[in-house]
Amino acid sequence: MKSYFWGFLLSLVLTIGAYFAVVERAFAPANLLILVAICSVAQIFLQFVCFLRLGREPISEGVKQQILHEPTQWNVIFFLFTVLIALVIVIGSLWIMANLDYRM
Amino acid sequence: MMQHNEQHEVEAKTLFGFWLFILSDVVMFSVMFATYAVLLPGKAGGIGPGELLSLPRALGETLLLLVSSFTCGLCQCLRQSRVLTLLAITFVLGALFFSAVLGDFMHLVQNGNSWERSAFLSSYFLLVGTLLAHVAFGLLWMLVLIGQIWKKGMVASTQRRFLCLKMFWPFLNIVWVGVYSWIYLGGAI
Repeated sequence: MKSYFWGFLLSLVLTIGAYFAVVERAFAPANLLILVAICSVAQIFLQFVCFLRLGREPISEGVKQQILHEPTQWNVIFFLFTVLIALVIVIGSLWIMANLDYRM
Repeated sequence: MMQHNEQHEVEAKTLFGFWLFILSDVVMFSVMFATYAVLLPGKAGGIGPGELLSLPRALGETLLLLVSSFTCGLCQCLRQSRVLTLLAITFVLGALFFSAVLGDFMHLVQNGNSWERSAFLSSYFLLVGTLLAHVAFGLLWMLVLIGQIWKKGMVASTQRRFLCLKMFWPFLNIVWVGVYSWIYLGGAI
């Protein structure tokens, strides 16, 4: 439960921090883009772990998620596979379209 | 006791199945993010996301959804009164978020920046609109669930539906973090 509050607080800090860095133009545009990227990826993983209990014991007393007690954590494996697919889709699309753009 | 174990097994299977649905939704949204990134230069002479979208409003919407996602998962115990209170708070915050984003859409369309304007705007409306449709169904889900818990109490079926909702709502917030960072903050840089 403690990690739940920490997850929320850190998400708030990352959201508001990224906002003010962009509004105040704290860094050069390229560095700002990297900062926003890091903040968003950090927050997404933070919320998967703290809010969706990825790879952790479920919060509710009422549930015993048997899948989590098996030696293989299938929900984590499927999550990692999904991350792989999502990366292939996003990076692959950008790569192919940039390449086409270059050759046209 | 035997029946109790069986019930837990059904619950675990449902939650795992719902987890797989959420992951398939992640893939769908990643396709839309890729589409948006590819079509971003296609403004057809119109203005880009930096001038078009309001950052302070986006921050307000992000905070609304983040707090609602926090209150949604706050019920550790499954006591009826507490679940109902937290669901009601989550619903109000979610409804405020929904109306705020819908207001942004109206504002864009009224100023002639609808999805028909350019490829960039089409992909913007596709991505944020799909997320908004998810939010609308989540809100409907909450209303129905509040009614069911009110009537039946926290029985096996309502408990299972509530646990699925507790996965679905924070997931929508995670997708919104991507929208906020890449479309709103990224567009303003």
